[in-house]
Amino acid sequence: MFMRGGSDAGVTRPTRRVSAAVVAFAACALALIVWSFMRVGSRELSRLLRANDGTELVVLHWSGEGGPEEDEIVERSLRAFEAAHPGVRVRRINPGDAASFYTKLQTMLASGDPPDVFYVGAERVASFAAMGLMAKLDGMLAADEVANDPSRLHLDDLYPATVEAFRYDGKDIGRGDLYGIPKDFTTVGFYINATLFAKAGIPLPKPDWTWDDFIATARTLGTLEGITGTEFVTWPMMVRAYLRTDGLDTHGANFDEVRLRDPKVLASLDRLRAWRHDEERALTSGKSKLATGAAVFTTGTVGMAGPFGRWVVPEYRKIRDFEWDFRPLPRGAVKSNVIATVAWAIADQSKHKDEAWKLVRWMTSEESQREQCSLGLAIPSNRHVAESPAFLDPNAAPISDDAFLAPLRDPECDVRVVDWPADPVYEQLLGSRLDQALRTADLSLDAAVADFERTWSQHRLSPLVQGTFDPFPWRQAVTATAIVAAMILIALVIFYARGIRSGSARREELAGLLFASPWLLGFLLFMAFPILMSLALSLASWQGVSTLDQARFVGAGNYAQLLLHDERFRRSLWVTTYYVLVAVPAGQIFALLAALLMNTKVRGIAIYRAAWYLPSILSGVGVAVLWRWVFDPEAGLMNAALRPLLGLVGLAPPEWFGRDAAVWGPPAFGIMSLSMIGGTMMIYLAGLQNVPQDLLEAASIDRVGRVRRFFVITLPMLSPVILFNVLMALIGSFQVFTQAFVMTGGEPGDLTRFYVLYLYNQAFELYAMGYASAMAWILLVIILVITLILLRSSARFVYYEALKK
Amino acid sequence: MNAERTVLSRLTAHGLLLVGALLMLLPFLWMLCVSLLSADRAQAATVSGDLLRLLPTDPQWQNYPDALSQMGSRRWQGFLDALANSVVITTLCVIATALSSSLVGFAFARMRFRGRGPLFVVMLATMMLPAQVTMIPLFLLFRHLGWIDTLLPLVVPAFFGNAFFIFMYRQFIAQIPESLIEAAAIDGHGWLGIWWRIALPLCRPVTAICAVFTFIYVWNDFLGPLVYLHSDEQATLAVALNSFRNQYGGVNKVNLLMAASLVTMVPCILLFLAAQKQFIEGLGKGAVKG
Repeated sequence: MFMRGGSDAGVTRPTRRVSAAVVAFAACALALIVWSFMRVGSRELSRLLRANDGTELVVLHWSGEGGPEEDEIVERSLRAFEAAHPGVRVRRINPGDAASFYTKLQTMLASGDPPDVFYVGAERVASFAAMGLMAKLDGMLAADEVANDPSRLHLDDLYPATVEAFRYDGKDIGRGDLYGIPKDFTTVGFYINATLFAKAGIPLPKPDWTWDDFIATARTLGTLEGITGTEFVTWPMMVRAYLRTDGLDTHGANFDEVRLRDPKVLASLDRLRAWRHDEERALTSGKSKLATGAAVFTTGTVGMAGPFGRWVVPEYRKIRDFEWDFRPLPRGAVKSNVIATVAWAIADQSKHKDEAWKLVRWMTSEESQREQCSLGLAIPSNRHVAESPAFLDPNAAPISDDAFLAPLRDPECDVRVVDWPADPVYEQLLGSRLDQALRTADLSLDAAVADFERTWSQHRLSPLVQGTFDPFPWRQAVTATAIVAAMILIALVIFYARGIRSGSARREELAGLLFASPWLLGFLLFMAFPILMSLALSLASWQGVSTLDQARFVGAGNYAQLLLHDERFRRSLWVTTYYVLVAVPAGQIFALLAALLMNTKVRGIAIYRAAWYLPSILSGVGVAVLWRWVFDPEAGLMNAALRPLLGLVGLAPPEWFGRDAAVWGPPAFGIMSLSMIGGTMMIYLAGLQNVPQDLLEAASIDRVGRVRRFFVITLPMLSPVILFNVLMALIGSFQVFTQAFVMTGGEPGDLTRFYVLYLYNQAFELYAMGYASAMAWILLVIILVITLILLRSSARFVYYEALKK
Repeated sequence: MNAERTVLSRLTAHGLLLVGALLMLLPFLWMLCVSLLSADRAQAATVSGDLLRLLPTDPQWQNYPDALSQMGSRRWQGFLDALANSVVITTLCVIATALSSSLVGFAFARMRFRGRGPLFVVMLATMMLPAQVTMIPLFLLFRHLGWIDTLLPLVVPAFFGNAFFIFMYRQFIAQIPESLIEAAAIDGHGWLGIWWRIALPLCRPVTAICAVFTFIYVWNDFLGPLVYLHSDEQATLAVALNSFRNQYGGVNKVNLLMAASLVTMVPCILLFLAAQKQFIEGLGKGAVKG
């Protein structure tokens, strides 16, 4: 089988076949490339030649829960608008999910080129209004009324609670100027698995059920084999919704008055915590919850799931295995429910406000809403549509569509939006602390509340928030930079002109600079500016949604706040360091061993290599879904493999992103990164190919053992490559971001909030671009110091053929 | 005796390789299974621990045309546009990156010029700033140049080299025996000739790696196209794939998403298979004999 002759003879014949395949492959690739260039080229040409007539409105929105179908409906409505309004063209941008949407919106706003019309979620109204991003709409409504415009919008047609969600007076939501026209909304409650209720022999909950009914039901359902009573998500919004049913909230009449210490609030929160932690069978203890958590209901293994709004309905309509329905939030001391809603808003900087207003009217008109609600994913904000068969479709699940509207009709029921203050830090801090207390075992409620109060006041009392600052001296900054640049240039010219070198050394120097010039030019063009800019911004307070002239100069304020008073910063630095310490050594050793294996001449090695490399190709959303499944504590593959092994020593596998996240969260990301070693492995493999065979053979003849040969010859010869890989791994690992961003969003609490993820939160969710820039520079210094130490010390153990001084 | 040991070690190698390969293939197989399930079964399979539910007993091949036709808002056109955009951007980036990076890497490894050391450290440092902070300044710059909503911001920077690959080329070019370079110089080759005739051929594995990495990176890049391109018809495949996500980052049609993801991956796999031949054979032949 392993005879050399046989395999050699076998190699020559397939070569011809392979080369035919290669030719075919190359031809296909070439054809694809030519076709692509032609398609793109002709399109770009026609874009250049296209006349720019009429008004162009730019509309930015997201896909909502309806995905591609919702996208199509928006597209149809906009085309109909174009047809009805000659001379107005609409350019639609849909980045997909809300996070991508807000990133995109922010870059457009920062450049002074905002979309004319865009979505805004109720939770961002206060901060967007405070930053002056949205136009006030009352004037336009009044003008329509005066003109008696036939297609004018009647606010009375819309549910008052949805309209109030977009009013803001500079302090409170619910009154003041109107900033958006709600497109649709939802109330929240629990989805119930009716089939499981029948199995357990209990009746379906009544519409006016209480929390006592709720937990009793959950306990009964939890006695069924393999069934958890209920899934309860602990997003900050839902925790506040829960508190409101007890007539409580996290704060008093305004956000300055934090009420978390109120014994009633603590007792109410503790009841929720106890359900989650002490009654495994009744409530999921945050185990299955990764991201939306809504999907868990579709498996039929939980009796109830919530509090969710209407948005899960399109997904749940695909359920075939059981009957399901919806019940509004149970009542506590009082009857209460909350609404979540999204509106169309107009950019304050829009140059076509009149046309934009017409578009907003068009998109929120009765006809448009009728069409949009066909997907069933939200309640139309127009009550005539909501109360009509268009929404209350008797043929589509859930049976109790009316249960979504019932809280609004009940005069006793307090239905309001969950409002947040203009400073988004409040929601993030509160969410982070409550999430960790409710989902993991390592933070008590008291400690969480104390944490929140301390960090919130550290933030609020910081000079960055309290102080007033002068505008950023851009003119001086630019002048100073120009002077420094000129001085450096002069110094360089003198430096290079001075040292008289021999002819060939001079030619070599010139050629060297010429060869390096692509990078030098690129550095000056595309890197020097952003780098200097981020350095300047790190000394500024800038929200990143206004143009640069709005930036204020805060000196070292960002750095002082970060290093002295930001606990989340310290936590993120620790979480990242922990990850780096696990992922870098493990990854390098694994990759090197893999490369050594790959370097052996066994049959089918090409296929093995491809297989080992494959996971490195995977990226994007699909992979996040995959890893969520792998690390699911109950249903996941990882724990299915670990359970029998750990069972031998009497241990249970960890809840990676739940209770045990403090210890196991970052290593879980390390394990994920192990599957991505393909690239590093390939570089090691290329390095191994570089190790002179004659040296190894000579050593082998001298009867040097295999292990010794590796350490004496291979490893030193490989040392430059090892240095390269280790450095790259360090730089990459300190910047770990994507996987955590899509999988956990940093949760539970801040236990997987890596450095760059926190930086992203600051830049794109908390609108602190200056603060984020300061973070970037601190990270740069950290990595640079480690790199320089490595490079310095590497001289001792890295062997180069050239590069000798 | 020696032969026995060889057979034994070969068997162990095979065993380890096989186990690893199976592990590494799991994600891919999982995606394949989910992509062939019906919508309701796919949703359930991604959250249940029951592996049997994953098996596509009734494979829905229709998912593939459905998925591709639903990318973007215009039936099929969205996919074709995205494919063409991705191919154009990626092809240009791969060629430009390999050429410019090897040139600069060669300079850093082999040519003596003053300031080489400090420049090299500056180059390394540029990799240490997270892209999230330079994104907005870069956007302002490109907007000033009038490049927004064109493919230029995604392609032009590739012509100026990439620090990662410059470093990689430098590490490998520094390993080439001095005698080879001297011999070429004696043969009358200038620096350009040495780079083109000696360094580049000897660095074929590095170039193969550079091509594969750049291809995969650019092909999968999401943030760049998201920020710089506005129009639907300018979207790349990575951005078009995002249309399967919804407001809260969940996925509506997980089976279609997996189907579309797999189709999107095909060029990466083919390129890897093509490049790996180059990359393995390259050095074995020429270099080390010198």
